[in-house]
Amino acid sequence: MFRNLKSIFKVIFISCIFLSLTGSATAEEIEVTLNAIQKTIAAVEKYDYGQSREDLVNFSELVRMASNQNKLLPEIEDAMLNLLESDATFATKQFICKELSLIGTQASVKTLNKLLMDEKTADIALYALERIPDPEVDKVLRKAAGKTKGRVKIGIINTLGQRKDFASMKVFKKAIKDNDPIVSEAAIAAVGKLGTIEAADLLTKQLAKASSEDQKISIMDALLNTANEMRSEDEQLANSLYQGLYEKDKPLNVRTAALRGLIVTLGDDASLMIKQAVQEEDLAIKSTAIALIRELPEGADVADVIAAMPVLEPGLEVQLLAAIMDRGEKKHADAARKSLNSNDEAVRIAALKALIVLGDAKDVTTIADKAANTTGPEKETAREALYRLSGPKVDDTILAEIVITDVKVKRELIRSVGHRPIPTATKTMLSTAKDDDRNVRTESLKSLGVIAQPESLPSLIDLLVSAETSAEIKEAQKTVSLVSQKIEDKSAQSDAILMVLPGLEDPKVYGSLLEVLGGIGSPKSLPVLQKSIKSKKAEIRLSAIRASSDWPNGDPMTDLLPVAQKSKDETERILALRGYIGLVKKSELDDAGKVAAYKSAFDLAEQINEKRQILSGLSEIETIASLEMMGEQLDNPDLKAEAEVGIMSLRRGLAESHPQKLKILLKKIVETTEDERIRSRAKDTLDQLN
Amino acid sequence: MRKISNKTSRRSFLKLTAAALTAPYIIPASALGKNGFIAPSDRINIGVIGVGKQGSGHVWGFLRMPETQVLAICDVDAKKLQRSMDAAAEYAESNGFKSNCVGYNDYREILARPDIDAVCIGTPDHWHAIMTIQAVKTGKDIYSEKPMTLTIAEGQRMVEAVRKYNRVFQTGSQQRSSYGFRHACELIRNGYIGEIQKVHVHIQTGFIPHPVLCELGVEPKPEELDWDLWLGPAPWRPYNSIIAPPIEWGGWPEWRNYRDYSGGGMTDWGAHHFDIAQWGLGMDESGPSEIIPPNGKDMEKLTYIYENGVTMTMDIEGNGIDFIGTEGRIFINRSELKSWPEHIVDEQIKPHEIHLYESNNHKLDWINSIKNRTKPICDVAIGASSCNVCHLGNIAIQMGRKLNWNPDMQQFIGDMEANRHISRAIRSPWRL
Repeated sequence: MFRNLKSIFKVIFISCIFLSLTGSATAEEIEVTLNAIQKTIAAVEKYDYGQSREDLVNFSELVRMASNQNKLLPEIEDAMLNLLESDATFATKQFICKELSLIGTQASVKTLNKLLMDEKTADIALYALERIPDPEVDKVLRKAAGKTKGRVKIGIINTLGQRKDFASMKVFKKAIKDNDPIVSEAAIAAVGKLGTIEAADLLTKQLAKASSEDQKISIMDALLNTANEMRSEDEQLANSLYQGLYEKDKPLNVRTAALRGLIVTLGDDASLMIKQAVQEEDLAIKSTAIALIRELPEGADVADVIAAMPVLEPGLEVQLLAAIMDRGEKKHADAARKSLNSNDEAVRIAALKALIVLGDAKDVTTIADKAANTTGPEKETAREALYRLSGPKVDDTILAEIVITDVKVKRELIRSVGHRPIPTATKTMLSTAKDDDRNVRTESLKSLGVIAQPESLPSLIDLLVSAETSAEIKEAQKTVSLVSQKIEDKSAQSDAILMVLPGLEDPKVYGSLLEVLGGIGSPKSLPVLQKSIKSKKAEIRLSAIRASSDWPNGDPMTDLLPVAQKSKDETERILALRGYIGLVKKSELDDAGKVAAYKSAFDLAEQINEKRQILSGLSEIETIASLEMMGEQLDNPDLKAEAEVGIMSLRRGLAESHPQKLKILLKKIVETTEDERIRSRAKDTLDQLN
Repeated sequence: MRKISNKTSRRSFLKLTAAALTAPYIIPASALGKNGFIAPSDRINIGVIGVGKQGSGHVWGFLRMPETQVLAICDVDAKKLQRSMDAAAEYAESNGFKSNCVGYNDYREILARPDIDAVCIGTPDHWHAIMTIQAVKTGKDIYSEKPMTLTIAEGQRMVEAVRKYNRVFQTGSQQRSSYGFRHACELIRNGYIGEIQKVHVHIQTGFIPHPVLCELGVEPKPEELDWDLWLGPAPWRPYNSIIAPPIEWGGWPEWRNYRDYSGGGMTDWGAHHFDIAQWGLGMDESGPSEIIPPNGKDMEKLTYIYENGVTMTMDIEGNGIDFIGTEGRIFINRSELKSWPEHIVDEQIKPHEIHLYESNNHKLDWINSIKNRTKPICDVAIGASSCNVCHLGNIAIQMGRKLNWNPDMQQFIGDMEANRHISRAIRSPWRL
């Protein structure tokens, strides 16, 4: 079997790195001897579909190492060829051909040619041959093309085309005339890949005498390929091919493809070509011409092209605007501005989108007006345009317009201050936050939350103190909270509020500032909340409960629990209990502590919503105590569903430590649940536990 | 029983091409009617090719879009075809009209229909290139599942073909149409974490990371399956249900594991995450210049080096992309976006900064691009280069040595052996 290997007398050491089947590399230095090579190849010989690929992988590794070290390759190739000539299985030969495609040389051509002549093995031979970079391959393929037919011949021609074998012109010429239309089509496509004058000539002549409409289509596709291939070397010839394919008697798809070719080869005349094309009646030509504006060279007179446009129907006008936008040349913004007045909504939206890229400060007023006075997608696009419009004076123009424009537009401009954002607008926003219009005030507060810095906190607190409606109060609270949290030193974040609080007499105002303290969660303010929760004034107590509930950790739990237990006011009790339940999750209590806290809360809870909230919290604590608490609720029709979900959440974590208890509960779920998905999952887990 | 075409599939490409060349360009009415209604005549007519686990979802997606109507469905498995045909019919009935969708065994029947404007390709990877190249010749716009290609050469041919015929092509790497991924990339491109030094791409997957030889045994072919057409351009082998499972199998088919049909887990999740890595690095339509496979010693992971010095590694554990810059770090996957320092992810992108292409719905972005004749968010050239990153990794792993790549020329530099991996022969009579 190993004709040449027999002459090898030296033991060769190869360091092999075997990739595992999962692709992760494991370094393994192994000694490869002649015997080992023979053994590996012999193992491959016996391979067939369905057997382990281990021997194949080992062989591939051997080939790879030999290839990387440029050792043993001729011998290995020879051994592979022997396998191909043997009565090895098709699967083995297919594998060998794949390997030969990577390392095969001229030496393989003769054997592969034999396989090529057999219809059963022609494909695997071509697999190897196509990748072997040796002219001998082309010679053999050319000869084989004349001796074969049907599928084998098609494969050979395809491979010759793929290899761009210029010397195959004769083969292709003959094959184009083949009675089998698929052979003919393959030959035409192969010629189209060559990109030579000779190929162009052949295809052009063939087009004139094509045997069918189908063949014409194939030839035109090949001519397009030829022109594209030739573009860099012979632009003039490429251009003349495109001209021929752009003629009106050609199919639409070919004409539009040729139009692209013309645009990219015409240079300075490309604009003229587009101007002519958009005058055609056919929508496809117009559409393509418009899209190809993107391809015009830099410096082309695009304005002239735009000016020459006929009246476009809306769909095409949208395409034009998209093309102008993609070019990104601000000097064409006027085209988009003009289209803002279209009767068609999609055109107006496209114009707004184009202005995001092309527009400047001059467009602020118009876009803001659109944002204020349109609806739906047009309004959203206008807003987006206002947020993203760029240019040196855009921000200044927005701020200037805010002062003079009407209420609706003002709201949109103020909104954009936060979205862009404009950091220099704080003073203006502090002023508009006192506007007569409620919506203007609210939008100003929103923007201030984004742009204002801590030094503005006194002014922002003033705004909160003077806020009238509950919506405004909430917005002002958010703003003060956001800006306070911009102070790097966490312990100082509530200082501005704490400084103001003692001087406030109105309990409502006092309360609204207290609530802000909760969201900030600065430790300094906790004593104030603790004191306030015991205030004689109900409004202050409620605000302190809310603030404590928002606290970022469990510290206020001990303040809320007594309220939940003892307050005479039902609202206070409920709010305090909800706050307490929420804080359990945020607390640093251990699992047992959290379960105990939930249990206390459960005992206090009078309403079903709080109980559900507790079960949800318990479902995240993987302990037997939480499992048991939920198990107790399986008989409670109001809480059964939450208990089931909670037990299912815990089942994996507790399967090993508490299988018996879990089994009892899962069995109960299987028997009583109304949720089929839960039943199925519970049953699966039960099966696994059993 | 729904309408299923019984026409023979053994046709010349020519006949189909000629018949379909009258396919009109889409100039739909630009505005929606009342309540978002679009007249059927103004909708984009879709053919869905390949309706297995992924493709059947696409049928649903396009059925529900007001901008589209599904007029044709194709699959080489008659039962899978029937399932999607039934879905189309049920959808039509539940919305008060009669389905006019026709089913086909051979996708060329769909390409031959001049009334089909666009096709969605949901087949295994070894079919994407051939179907795309044929589809653009007949004037169809294309949505192709990721990974876009099986080889680097396929990507080159697909880009040429799509450009040649001025078609709109969307690659199904839909993470680009998600706010989180876009925001992460915008932050990175605008320097919020400084200059990027490293990217760690984690692509844990249920498939074999790098594809292997297919060793599966011989099984009786199910009656409903056209196995020869399933294989198409791939090397012949006998049927096995692991590769092309029957309809009863609920999981993902495992053709992804095998080199003849796919690039393994590498091109499965890699087509998503390397795509985002390239987006974040501003390397769309480009790629790395060096690829170094792991060697079990000093090089633990598959490593890419870009011309600008950025290194990118591939990890088969975890899921997501980790960008490491001189001033911070951003990690993104489908469920989380995190940054170090934390505040970075909350930053807004300012008007004068780089804004990346915005899409919030991958299919709708394709439809809008068809209407506007623009490149969609994951255009063919982007899909090809992102997929090339995966292929380059697989080739380096297969060859077991460092490779030098010229991303502009799309060639290995002075390396004839490696260049053999760029393309591979396909089974006759198919061709690229």
